[in-house]
Amino acid sequence: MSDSWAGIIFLGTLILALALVHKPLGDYMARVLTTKRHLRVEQAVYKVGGVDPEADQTWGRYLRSMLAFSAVSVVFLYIFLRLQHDFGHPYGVPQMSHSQALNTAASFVTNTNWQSYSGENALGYIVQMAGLAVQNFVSAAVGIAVAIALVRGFARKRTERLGNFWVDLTRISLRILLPISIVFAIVFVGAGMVQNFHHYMDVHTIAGGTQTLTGGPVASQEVIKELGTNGGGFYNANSAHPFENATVWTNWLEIFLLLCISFSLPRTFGRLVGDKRQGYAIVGVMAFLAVLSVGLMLGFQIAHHGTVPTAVGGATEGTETRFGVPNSAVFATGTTLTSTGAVDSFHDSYTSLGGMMTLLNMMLGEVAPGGTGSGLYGILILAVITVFVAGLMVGRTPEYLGKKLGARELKFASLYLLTTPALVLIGAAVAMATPGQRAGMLNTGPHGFSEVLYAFTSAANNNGSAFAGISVNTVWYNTALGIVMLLGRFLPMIFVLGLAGSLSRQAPTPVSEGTLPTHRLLFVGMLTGVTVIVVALTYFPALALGPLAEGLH
Amino acid sequence: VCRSPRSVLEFQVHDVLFVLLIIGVFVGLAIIAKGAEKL
Repeated sequence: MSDSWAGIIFLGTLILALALVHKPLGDYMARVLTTKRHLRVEQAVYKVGGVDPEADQTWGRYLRSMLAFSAVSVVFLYIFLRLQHDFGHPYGVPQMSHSQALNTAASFVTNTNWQSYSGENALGYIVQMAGLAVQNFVSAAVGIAVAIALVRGFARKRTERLGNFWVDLTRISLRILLPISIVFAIVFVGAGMVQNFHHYMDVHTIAGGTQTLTGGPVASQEVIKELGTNGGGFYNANSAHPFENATVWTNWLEIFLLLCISFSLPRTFGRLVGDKRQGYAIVGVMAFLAVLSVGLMLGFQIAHHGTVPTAVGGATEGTETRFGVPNSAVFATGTTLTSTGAVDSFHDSYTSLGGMMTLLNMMLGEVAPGGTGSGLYGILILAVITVFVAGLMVGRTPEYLGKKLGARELKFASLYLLTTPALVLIGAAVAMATPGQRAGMLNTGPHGFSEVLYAFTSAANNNGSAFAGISVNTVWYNTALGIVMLLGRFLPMIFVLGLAGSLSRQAPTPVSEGTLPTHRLLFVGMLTGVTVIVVALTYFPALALGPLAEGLH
Repeated sequence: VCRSPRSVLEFQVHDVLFVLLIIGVFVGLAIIAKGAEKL
């Protein structure tokens, strides 16, 4: 079979599988988030935590619960990372530096999973399992909880109550993420991924040298790494490592896992607002942007523009030969369109315009389909902006799903949209303006700038993938990127929950002649346009200085 | 690993500073959240 046919089948079956799970998974998540029944294990959790599961919270209380949980998580993980050397090798390895522990703690709590270390050298098995993997579950659950709170804001009427954060967090973790992770961890072990607590082994290679093989509980963490759109690898090579991604079909499965929840959440949204067509419109925009992005990425990578790719006949540098160029390009697109950040190839080695696509995917705000939960609330914010802009253009009443979009709602939406670009552009500008930070660039010119821009884009959007080619394990980069990750995650969440609170208080507005239908193809086109135009206007100058300048050279 | 009293002191001071930085970020976020309620 030719590479082209293999790539077409790989992509076609992936789209088909995502379409097949959209309805059952979306409906299941809707049931989990609306049922009145608490499982026994959940009741035990509430009892231990002193939570009244029947007490719904206002948006302010929901937000404070989420911030308190996240603050405690960061501090706990920081201390855990600093103490891991006491557990003994290979359960603990030499102590992480202060700034790297801060960066790593912020990274995993914010669902970013940016890694300024190599996992097999810097982390022992205990902190990987009891520290990072736990955050892989709960950070994903926090994202979904915030998205569902916003959906309840649209769905509920004349109430201050958006649900209970602790109940949402517990249910999402125990009923959605954990069962899927257990099933697929067994599948991954069957595929050949390692799952053990062995000490590191020195083996003699065929070439006569020696090599240290690390073990570890990899398969169990690999599923939630993708399913929760986390992306932090057990090994430095991430999903290019054979212990972490054993075969071509596990590569397919990893891409499927990192996309399945985010592509199914619009169905949950449609169910909760009582109009499934609204969910189809949202998933339509996500799917259109995703397919467009995959197409462009494949085009740029297969055309292998650039001196070296042209010389060797393909953009193979930085790709894993087991997966090849097309499958690597699909993985890179999937990982940057979501907030995953896992990699099975190295984005720094991509063609200049292929590398630009990875940047552009993140700059879109990761809404196609985006991270678990964050993708849904991101695109709903853009839908609010679209309805408002459409109202200005054609004189329609700005209302969405029966809720009026007034000054207060637009303030929250605008603040949301401004936060991430501000963090990306100010962060990259400060790094480029200071000689000490510029010294960390391993390339000069546009490519070097792209590396710095990518680091801040990845951190602020909570993606976590790295362009590489830049020394980020310094006190400045660890601290700056750590703070950017925290602000990039929680500032937008404040505005999302503020918007949710503002919407839930309103009485429903009946549909009238002046109401813009938001389930039709026209709205899908408008929302797609607004998403792309907002990104183009915000980031075009920065892209022109980096990958565009390099690509057009 | 044996540490000199000086390095132990540095260890503690740096850790306290970084934990304070984390808490400071979250206090800042809580203040912004309070401000958002008045929007």
